[in-house]
Amino acid sequence: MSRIPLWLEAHPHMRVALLTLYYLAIIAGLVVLYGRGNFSTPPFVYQGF
Amino acid sequence: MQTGSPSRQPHLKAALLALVIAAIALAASLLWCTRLERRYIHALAPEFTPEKLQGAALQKHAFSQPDLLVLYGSSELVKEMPNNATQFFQDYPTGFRVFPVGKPGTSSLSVLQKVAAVGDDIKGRKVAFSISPGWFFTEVFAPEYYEGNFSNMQAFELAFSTHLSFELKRDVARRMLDFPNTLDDRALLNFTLWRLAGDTMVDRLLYAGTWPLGRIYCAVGQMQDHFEAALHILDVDEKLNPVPVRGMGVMKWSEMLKRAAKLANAAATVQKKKDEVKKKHLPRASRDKSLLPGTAREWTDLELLLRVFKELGAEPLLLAMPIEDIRLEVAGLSPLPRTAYVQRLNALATKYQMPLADFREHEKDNDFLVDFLDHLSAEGWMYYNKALDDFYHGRFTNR
Repeated sequence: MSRIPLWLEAHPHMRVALLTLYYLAIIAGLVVLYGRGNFSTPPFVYQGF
Repeated sequence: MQTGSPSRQPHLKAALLALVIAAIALAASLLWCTRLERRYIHALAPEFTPEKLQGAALQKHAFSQPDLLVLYGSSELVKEMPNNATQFFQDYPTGFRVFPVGKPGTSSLSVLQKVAAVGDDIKGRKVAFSISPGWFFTEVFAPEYYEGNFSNMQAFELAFSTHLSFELKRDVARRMLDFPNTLDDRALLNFTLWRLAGDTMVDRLLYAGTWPLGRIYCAVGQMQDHFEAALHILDVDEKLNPVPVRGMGVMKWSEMLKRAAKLANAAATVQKKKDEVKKKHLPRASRDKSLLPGTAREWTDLELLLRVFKELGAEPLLLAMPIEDIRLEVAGLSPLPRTAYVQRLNALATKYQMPLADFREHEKDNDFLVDFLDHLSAEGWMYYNKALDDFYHGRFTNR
């Protein structure tokens, strides 16, 4: 077994903290990808009536 | 065995913690956005940006300010013209500034969705709506105009509004379905509008089924609206907080001269209009029949808008540009359709008990509009401004 999992096993609070950061990064990614609204409208030529 | 202990479920614990932190961060960001919007709302009044026109957050803030008067309209608001309401009330000459909302092609159906998205923030607030006569002399206007003004966020707010009756939403949905291009790739909105329009027992049940998802969409749309508004404010921050620089700038003379020439041309418009009369004159009888305003779909949309105003408890002023004699001449029309148009407009205003300024006394005034495309001249704007000022200060009486 490598040293990192062993270290994480020995420090459960650090493990939770790192996992929290991991999930926060996922949420932040989703916000960046889908968080912005789209208020653009198709262009058109206004000719009056 | 320690099944269920926190150390055995680190992922669950971390995910919940991340969600709580994200929720707190989101709430704090929204609070920050709202404060930024409130701080800059007066400076944003003269703008015609998508964040202002296609969202609802900035319009809501405008309604919350006692010294801002929201004016809905279309291309006349955007057209550069001396004395236009935005410019005229820029420095709060009588205690308020006009907050225009509209762009070319913004008809009643688009305006009513903006108003519906504002929701009950409009309750008890004064609002003005500028009516373009051109909309009522075309049976069905080009769908591109509606599509070019369509806002997904505002449409969702209308479809899932908690402030409007089902019957009103049904009638609006039936009109919105006449523009299928706006519903492409919007499956939930499309489905919801069909359910509203159908109005059978099954439709109502299915509509109720979509309600939770629809409200989630609305909540996401509202958050996006706040973020977009805040990002826009940060983008134009320097413009909104101008720092005067003395003697360091270079005058953009070519731009200024072009602008002056454009405005000077506006003064010579009447002659241009007369020339157009000569060119376009058509036999009167042939035009009267096709242009009688009774068939225009805009009547339906205007009445729907008035119903939205009524159900939301707004206090609107209707401003209707006059149809000048010269316009009748160029269209080859008798005064009959004009009389029918004005009478119907007055009947609607009376039905919904809303004040209307129809400016009939200016029908012989060929300078009220600058062209035949429902754009006010510098003179026309002054009459509009007087009506807005009287309305804001509670002096307006139906004329």
